[in-house]
Amino acid sequence: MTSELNLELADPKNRLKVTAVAHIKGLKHAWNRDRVLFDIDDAIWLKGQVVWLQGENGTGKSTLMRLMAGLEGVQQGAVSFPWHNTGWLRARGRGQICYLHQTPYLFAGTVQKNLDFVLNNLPRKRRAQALERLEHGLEMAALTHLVEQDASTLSGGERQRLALLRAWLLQPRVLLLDEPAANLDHKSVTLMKHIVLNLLEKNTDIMLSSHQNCDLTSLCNHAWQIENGLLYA
Amino acid sequence: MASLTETFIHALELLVSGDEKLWTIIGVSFRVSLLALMTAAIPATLIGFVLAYWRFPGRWLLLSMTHTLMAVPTVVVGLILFMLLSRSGPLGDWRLLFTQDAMIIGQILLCLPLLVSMTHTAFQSADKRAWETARMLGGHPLRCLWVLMHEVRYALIASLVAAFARIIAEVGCAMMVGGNILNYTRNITTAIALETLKGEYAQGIALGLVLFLLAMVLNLGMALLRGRGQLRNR
Repeated sequence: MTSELNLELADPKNRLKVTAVAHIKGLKHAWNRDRVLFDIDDAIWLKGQVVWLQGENGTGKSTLMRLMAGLEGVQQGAVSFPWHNTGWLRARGRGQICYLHQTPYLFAGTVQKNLDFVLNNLPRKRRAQALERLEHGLEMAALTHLVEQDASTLSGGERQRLALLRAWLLQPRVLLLDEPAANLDHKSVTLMKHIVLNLLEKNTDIMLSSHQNCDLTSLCNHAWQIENGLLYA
Repeated sequence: MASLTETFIHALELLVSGDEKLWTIIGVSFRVSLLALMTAAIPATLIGFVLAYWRFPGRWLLLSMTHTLMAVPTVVVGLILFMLLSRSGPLGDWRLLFTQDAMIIGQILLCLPLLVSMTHTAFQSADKRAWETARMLGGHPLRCLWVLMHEVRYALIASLVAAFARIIAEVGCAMMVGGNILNYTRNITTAIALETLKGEYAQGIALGLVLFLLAMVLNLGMALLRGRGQLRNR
């Protein structure tokens, strides 16, 4: 098995396909003609790397993540996921790359209804598996007692944990966390760390942006720094 | 000419007594306008959504055209449709002129620009994260759209109410393509115009009262919705 993998890796084309999570090439993004946000020549996010995306305010961390998630249109260059060849319109391509907003959006209704949204999006087999894991997930996120509570009444930490729990249920191939620990207390960050660790164990590739050192950033083994419009990977 | 009070009392009597002629006219109005609204609502919502969330060449032109069409007088829409549907017109073979179907087409054309414009505004004002989150969580595009529609449901209902109010109260287009045929294409507004010319004010006032009551109910409903919409906190 190992020799087969080595053979595959010997071919440069395959090497990228097997080991790269994402490949950014010639990506340039500007708000207008005068202000180029960043101009990334070439960057590869390799499998196994838990990336901490760093940079000052306004350097384009969120924009880069949104571009990777397909939430913003690419102006110039390309962001590709070599393993991902289906569009989000097709069932197989949907939900494989998941971006979590800095301030998460929760659907109207209870916590359970928010989780049901994810469950109903999954194919039957995965839905059954997710349903089995649900109780464990609620415990990890310390949301078991809030399951019937209206999501709009949750605190900031609880909202963030619920948003992460939805992603945990989905188990995407790639998870992009935008400032997940901003304005959260230590307890919430610790709980989130456990969920993220669990996702890493399940082979989800994770990139997170954060200003400060925290429990979550301690999980990262690789850093990307955006500075003066350039990406230092 | 009877006094205003007498005419008003006579009008109320007509309404309460269930005068068949009067209620048929009211029925035609509601049937035509509701069918037109139901037909226009789904495509208008989709167009409004696409205009709000997609950037494509010609989008600005389409938006400007929509806003312009909102201001076109109903008689002008009626005139164009009359020319299209008349025997010598390009759609003459359809034999739709002076039918309820022609009235429905006319009212669709009248309410579509208003619905598109209002749904576009509603979607634009929505929290974009609703659509993005639904997408990121693997939702089917139609399911994501449903989530977004739920987010702006009060504005969408308000747009339906406004469009219904516009078409049920219009007279020009219905008169031109409907022909004001009794028990078939005569609706509230065309009947008011005709009865007034004949000097039958009681029926005109009775029908006017129906429109007034309808306007009041719709406005109260809108006010309630606005209140609920403003109370929302998420």
